[in-house]
Amino acid sequence: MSQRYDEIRSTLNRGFFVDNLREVSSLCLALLQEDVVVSHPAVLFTIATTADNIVRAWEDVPITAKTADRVQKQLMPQLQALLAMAASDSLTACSILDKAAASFGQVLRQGLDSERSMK
Amino acid sequence: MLVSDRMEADHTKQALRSMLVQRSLILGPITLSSGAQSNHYFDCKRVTLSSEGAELIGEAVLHEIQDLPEWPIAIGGLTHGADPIIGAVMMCALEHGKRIDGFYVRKEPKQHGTRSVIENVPAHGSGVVIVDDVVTGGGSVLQAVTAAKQAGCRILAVITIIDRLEGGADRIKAEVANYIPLYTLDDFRSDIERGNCPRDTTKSDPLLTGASL
Repeated sequence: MSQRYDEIRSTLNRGFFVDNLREVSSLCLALLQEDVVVSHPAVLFTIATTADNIVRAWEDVPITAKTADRVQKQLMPQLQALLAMAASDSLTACSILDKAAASFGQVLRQGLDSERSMK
Repeated sequence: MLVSDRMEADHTKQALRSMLVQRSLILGPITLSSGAQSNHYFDCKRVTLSSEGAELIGEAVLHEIQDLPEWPIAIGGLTHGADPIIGAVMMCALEHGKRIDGFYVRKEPKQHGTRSVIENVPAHGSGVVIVDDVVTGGGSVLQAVTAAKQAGCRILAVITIIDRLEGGADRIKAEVANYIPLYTLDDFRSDIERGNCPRDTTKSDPLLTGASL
């Protein structure tokens, strides 16, 4: 099991770009579908959903390096924290999931595919 | 092709090139799907989804099709980049008294129902042309070529609007003998080097900064 998480982690660490995020999502959903016990399936679901949302926003449109860097800086630590929490208790896990969701909300406010001017 | 037809084709391509520079070419650091960074990007939908652009693309692609040894039964490609090109060519062909059907290839099979990959799949053995807007690594074109071949189509040619000269051409030519990009990056190098382009991410581009137009 840890090998599968390592594979997701190393793929994620390659960075935020469409082809790679599609791969991250695919790995998470593949593991989620397997008949194995995963301590926190919400981790895989959250990472896959986050990656899919970014892919849909970035696919076939010009994404400036500035926007790609910002989104990666805001979300990468949260997704890495999710992958690291496999052995955490439910309360800690829930807190990390909340932080990831809140960060994604912030990214949406600032713009997922462009730089929105913040008032 | 007659000399007058060739002159008309050249005029069409010149007008289309100018429109691509004005509307599609974007300067500035852009993150591509592959993760690579580029100092230019072609957002071809700004042209393919405009009335004038669709007419020019329809004519330009049709000129290339007329030079093929066989008239295709259908024209198709991977959704969404190919979709407006397919429509433009179909309509343009009809205006010239010719018929050509369209099909598009889904990126993934339908999750429910028929699970079909190709919408409006041509009859087995049909000669078809695959189109796309921009070629980088050639992945989108090859996905469409593979799906069409699996459906029993014969690929007469691949016609694209712009080839970014990043290796896609070699991969396509390994699968299809007749690969015709209307333009390559070389046709735009002078515009890129001179910054001769209204859309620049290093300046304020409302289409990229999210501001309202």
